[in-house]
Amino acid sequence: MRRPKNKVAEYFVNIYRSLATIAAGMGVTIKVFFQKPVTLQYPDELPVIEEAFRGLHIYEQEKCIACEMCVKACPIDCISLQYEGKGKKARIKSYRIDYTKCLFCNLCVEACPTHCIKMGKEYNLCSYDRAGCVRELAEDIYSERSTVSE
Amino acid sequence: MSVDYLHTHEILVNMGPQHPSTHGVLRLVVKTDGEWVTETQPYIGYLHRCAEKIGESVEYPQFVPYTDRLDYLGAINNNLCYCLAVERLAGIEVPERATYLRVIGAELNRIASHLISYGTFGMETGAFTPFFYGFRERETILSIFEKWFGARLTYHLCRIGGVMADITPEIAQDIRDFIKTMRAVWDDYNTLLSFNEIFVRRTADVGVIPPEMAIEYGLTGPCLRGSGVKWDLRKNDPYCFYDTFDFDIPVGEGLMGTVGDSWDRYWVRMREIIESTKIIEQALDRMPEGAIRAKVPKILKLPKGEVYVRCENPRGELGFYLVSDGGTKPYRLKIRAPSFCNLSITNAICKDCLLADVIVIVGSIDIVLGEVDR
Repeated sequence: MRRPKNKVAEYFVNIYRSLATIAAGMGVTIKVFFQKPVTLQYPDELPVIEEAFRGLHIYEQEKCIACEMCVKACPIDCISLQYEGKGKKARIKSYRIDYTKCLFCNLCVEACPTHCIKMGKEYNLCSYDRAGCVRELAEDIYSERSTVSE
Repeated sequence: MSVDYLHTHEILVNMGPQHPSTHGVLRLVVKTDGEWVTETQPYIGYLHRCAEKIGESVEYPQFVPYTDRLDYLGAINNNLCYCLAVERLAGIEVPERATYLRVIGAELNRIASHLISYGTFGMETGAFTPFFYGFRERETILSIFEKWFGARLTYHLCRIGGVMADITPEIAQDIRDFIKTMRAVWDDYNTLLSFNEIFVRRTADVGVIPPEMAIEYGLTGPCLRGSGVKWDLRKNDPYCFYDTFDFDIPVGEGLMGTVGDSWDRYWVRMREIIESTKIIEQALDRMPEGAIRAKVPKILKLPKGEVYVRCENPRGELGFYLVSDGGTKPYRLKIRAPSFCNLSITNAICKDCLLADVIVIVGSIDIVLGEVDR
């Protein structure tokens, strides 16, 4: 950019250019003033979650054959699976995912041969304590006492 | 007039590790004499997560989500580079459609990253408004990503042998709409910040990196191109059909001051946004139908050997050096992070400048601490 050599002239040119460019910038701001806002007032307006969103897992216990493919595919070992028996007769005791560790990488979903685990649309992860981040996805329908104690 | 008699004792000032303009947890130890800075020493390592060691302890496909966390603003580019490294060593042929999808993802991500750089650089020079404009357009990109493969920050789009999800015609239309909007608002961006006189005076002739010095320090990406060196791996060492796309490589020309000053580096990024939109448009037009993932064995074993693959990340040359001993895990994984190398020049150019200029210079290098510390 060309700048004047005279010091006095430079002083006034500086002031002129600053004011002119700020006014041009304000023009952009005023243009947006008449457009619709793009923000959401979050707790009152909820965002639309897309179908493909990778949120908290959805587990279909009746399809699970306890093959442990998801446990092996997990890069950070956040899935813990307890069961009795193998294949279609398997009795799932607990299927826990530790969401303090989970990367939401979708690798467990791709590894599953029976499509019993998939990523859902739920995005609320918070809980009041660390233990609350470990979610039990299986219902213990075989033994009498529930495993979701403590 | 000599001001030698004004010299006082030098004071050591700790800037960071938690400072709003250090782009993360970077600690700068600044030696100052009044307002003049005589030495700036960066201290790093506050975000070290042993990414390389983790890479050696998990299987090849399992490390891809971890690469998202290196440069979290350009995650798809990191995914892409690691997948290319593994594919080259394993000899996996990627379907053509998957390659084009990778290019679209990577370039959209580059735009998103440069928009953040635009917003934060404006904030560091005292302009708060551009931040909102940058984030408004970035939000559109993130919505497209969410619709496409369901994540907003840690994408995990590229898988070994292809990509995770295909785009529908609806998403393709969204991307085209976004390109149209981006080109329209780009002029507004420049009116707001690029040609604002106060911004120009803050950044022009500040932190000048001569081209020889840039090459000596191993700078890459917009920092090197800002110094007038035409070096872009997308053209110089092409991958993913980048050599067939028609786009320019913007270099610094010293429009507002000296070649290689902070304004030039910023201007290179701004022009790269427009170049990226050209690439995306061509990729959308040329994309053939077909499979998006090659057949990859479930337990992937790589043959013995080593490979170094480099890609043009939004911040420069990202390289993955893999050594395989024939097993399911790499024997050694070394990551060449662009931000780490770019940061090394800080002390050389943050000398004999004002304290406020240090913030502008560090901002113009545009580092991401997740990548510096790995």
